[in-house]
Amino acid sequence: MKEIELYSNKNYIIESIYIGGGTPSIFPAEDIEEIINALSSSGEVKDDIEFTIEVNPGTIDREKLERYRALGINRVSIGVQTLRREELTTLGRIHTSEEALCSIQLAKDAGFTNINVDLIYGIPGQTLESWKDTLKRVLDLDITHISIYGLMYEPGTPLYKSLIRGEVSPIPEDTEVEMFNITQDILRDYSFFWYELSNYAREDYECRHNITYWEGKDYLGIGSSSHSLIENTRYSNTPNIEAYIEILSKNKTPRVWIEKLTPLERARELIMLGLRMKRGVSLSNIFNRTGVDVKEIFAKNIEKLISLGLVNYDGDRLTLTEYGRLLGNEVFVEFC
Amino acid sequence: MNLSSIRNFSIIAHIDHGKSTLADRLLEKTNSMPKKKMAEEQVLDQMDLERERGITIKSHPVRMYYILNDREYELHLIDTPGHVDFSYEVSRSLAACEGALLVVDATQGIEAQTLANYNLALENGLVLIPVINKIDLPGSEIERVKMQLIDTLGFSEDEILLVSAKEGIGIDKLLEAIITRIPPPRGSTEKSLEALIFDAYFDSYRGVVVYTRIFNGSVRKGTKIMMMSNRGVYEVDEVGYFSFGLHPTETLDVGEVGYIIANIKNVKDAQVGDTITDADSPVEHPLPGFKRIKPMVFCGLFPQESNGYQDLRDSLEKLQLNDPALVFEPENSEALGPGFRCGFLGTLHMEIVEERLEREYGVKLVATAPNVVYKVYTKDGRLIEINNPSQFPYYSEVEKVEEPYVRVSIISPSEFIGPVMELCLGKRGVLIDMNYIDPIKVVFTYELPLSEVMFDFFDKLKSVTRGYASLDYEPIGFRESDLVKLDILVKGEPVDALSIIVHRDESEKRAREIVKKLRALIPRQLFEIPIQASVNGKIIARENIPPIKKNVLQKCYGGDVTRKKKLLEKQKEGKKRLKQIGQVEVPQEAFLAILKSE
Ligand SMILES: Nc1nc2c(ncn2[C@@H]2O[C@H](COP(=O)(O)OP(=O)(O)OP(=O)(O)O)[C@@H](O)[C@H]2O)c(=O)[nH]1
Ligand SMILES: [Mg+2]
Repeated sequence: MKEIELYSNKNYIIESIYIGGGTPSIFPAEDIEEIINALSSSGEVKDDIEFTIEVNPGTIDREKLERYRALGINRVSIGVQTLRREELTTLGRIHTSEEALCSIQLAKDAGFTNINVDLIYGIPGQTLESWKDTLKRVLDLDITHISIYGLMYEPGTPLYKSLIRGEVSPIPEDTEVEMFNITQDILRDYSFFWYELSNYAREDYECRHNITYWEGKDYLGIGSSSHSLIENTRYSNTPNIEAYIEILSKNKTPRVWIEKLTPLERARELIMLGLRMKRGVSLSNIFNRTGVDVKEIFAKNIEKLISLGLVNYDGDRLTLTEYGRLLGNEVFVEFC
Repeated sequence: MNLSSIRNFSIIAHIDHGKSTLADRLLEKTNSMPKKKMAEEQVLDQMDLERERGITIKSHPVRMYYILNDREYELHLIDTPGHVDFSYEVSRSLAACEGALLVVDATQGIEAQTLANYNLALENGLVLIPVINKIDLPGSEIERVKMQLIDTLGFSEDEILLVSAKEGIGIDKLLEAIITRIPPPRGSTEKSLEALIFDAYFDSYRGVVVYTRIFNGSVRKGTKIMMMSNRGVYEVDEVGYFSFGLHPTETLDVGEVGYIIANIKNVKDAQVGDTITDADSPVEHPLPGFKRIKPMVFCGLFPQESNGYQDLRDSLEKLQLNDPALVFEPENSEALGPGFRCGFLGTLHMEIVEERLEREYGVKLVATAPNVVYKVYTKDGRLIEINNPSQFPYYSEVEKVEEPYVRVSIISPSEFIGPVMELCLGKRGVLIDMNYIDPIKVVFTYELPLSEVMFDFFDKLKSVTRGYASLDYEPIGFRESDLVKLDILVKGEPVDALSIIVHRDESEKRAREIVKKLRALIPRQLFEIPIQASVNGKIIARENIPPIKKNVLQKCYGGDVTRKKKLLEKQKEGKKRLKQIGQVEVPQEAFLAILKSE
């Protein structure tokens, strides 16, 4: 709240709101209400905004969800991950698959019509069959959006440590590729289409908020360790909660890290982020926004990527090919 | 200084027998050690690489003054390296001296380079003072080592000095012996200048700094000097002596060791081994200079960046001035582009050259696996000498191949006679002789192919003798061997920089090892990469590197952007260290991996 007040004189126009990171759904609805009040008194909130909250299975009930809706929240994102118990254990998740399915149902019962579910594939021990089963059971619940991530072993996480200790073994790359392929088939059957590397939606249900990131538009992050992008500058707040509170109590901004992007850096980011989307990036658009002629500077790289069959180029728009979707990094690295 | 008050001597020994530590004590005793260096050990080893590795790589001259019986003497000490790969440093230093201290470790006794350096000193006609060092150690065997010196090298008992360089024992006696036993230099100031260049380095401000020993005449600022090899004339800018850096003096006189700076910007004009004389009244003949030494191993050095050729050439020329054992000639590799084929005295020498090029000159290198020289006789009667496997003629044209052999001396405790003989046999060795230095120490003389000795022989010898054996070798000419060229094909294309020459009996085993190693070293790429090994046009081993099918950042939202960018930058940095060969990106290590056999 305090941090929101700091920006109250900026007159931002708010097009979407996303409450997420950690488990915001464990707080009582009153707390969420206070945040929303603070936001609406500090900027202009558009009428038809997309307003999402992340919820984790096991932390919500029907009443809380109804309160959310009453507050204007119109989208929920549920971190289901998988519906298999062993796989949830491997991921270190504390909820059960029953709780996961139940929370989707609760959201629908509370009247939400825009529901996202997060799933993970490529979990050690997962099979093609178990993945298909999880995916279909979730899709059968008639949701509108789905984020599907291949498992990543991020250094520092418990899973990464088990990997290093040899307690879990990653599933073979071929299996993972196969999982990705059947995922595409199944989603098509359920009339979902991909619009970003890990994101699929029914028509008109793309997540507007996240598209902001990929289009490189400005956003303001509130809270400890959150990030912002404002006028070509990236900021991040201190990840240390105590420090965060301490700094705010002195009426200072808790931003501890700032990166001012040069036009070239900005252009590189716009490519890297834009290429994540099905519609890709328009090079003339990048030129208009940054003054950088990508076509000229990265001519060789683009040529190489085309010859490798990783991207398509129609004279303005650069898009990933079907084959390039699984090899995004090989493409992005040419522009970094 | 009066000639009779000058003494020039080197310290020579087997590696690690304590030369540089002994130099520390001599410097201390003569008050030649700068205060701030007092706490350091082996202070003359000032090169980063020397300090890191704890070995001497370059010879280091230094001047000292010492008073004995009320008379002041000017002593020029040259500390030398002990490792066999740097023996050229030793022989050049000896040419500037009248005497040498032959240091022997009291716990080890005579080792292979003790013998080799002893012989070098005798060839140069030097007076030798035998010094047994490390007498402070509980494991020292003074009596035994004395007997070795007497029986094997012919010293008499009362010549032998006992010291501990570490504890500073016996240093006064040693200084006295240096002055009384080593003869002063001869020559005359009146004669024309005759100065031997025994070392040099390039200073980017002042040009070449020449290390010299004056045999006749003298030189001072303003003297017009002439290089005898190419008649180049220069005016001297500064002369001086060495004492932890350069110390300018009025003159450098007959008998002295010191440096000359004469604004020489072209490194070719100051060749180590050349004689400097007066431009106005030159001497007729140059000093004998140095025997040309033949490199033992060769490898290709290529700039990592394709535009780095000229830089590499300049760097090699400058480094060669300071390391005349290095030779190089341009080489053009199909796979790696323009670079140089370089010759070295051994693999340590090669390693040091590569490191110095990278550190002192900032060049980034791709080095290929080392090899020896081969003589190939073709069916149409030609003889081709090749120092590069890629020059090997097509197999159907080859009549016979000869490879260099060396006579190897191995000194080992007698308990390891069995394992040493077994090792040499496995390396195609022929035993020529075996003698006892004393009841428990033997010298073997073997003849072996140089290629077998060069690469991992020493490590294996050390391991079968628990570290106790030492090794020295000298070339004895070429002999016929059944050798073939092993080609490596990456994605169907032969890569010249990866081919090697091997004995036919070994070829299949090596081929399998190499393709396996390359498979592990070459990162997966977007397409499948077959790695094949072939001999005489026949594929004898194959591995496949499967393509990458998946490499994508899964999640990327607002807070992830910066972190993900870092990840991608890391991936890109990794790619930079790869050399593009055709379509395939190959890491530097791949070129060296083909060297070591299991
Ligand atoms: N105990 C003892 N150790 C010694 C003595 N002299 C040298 N050492 C040790 O022996 C090792 C080698 O000494 P160095 O002086 O570097 O030997 P070096 O002959 O100059 O070696 P290279 O130049 O590499 O051939 C070091 O660890 C010294 O501390 C000595 O008198 N007593
Ligand atoms: Mg030394």
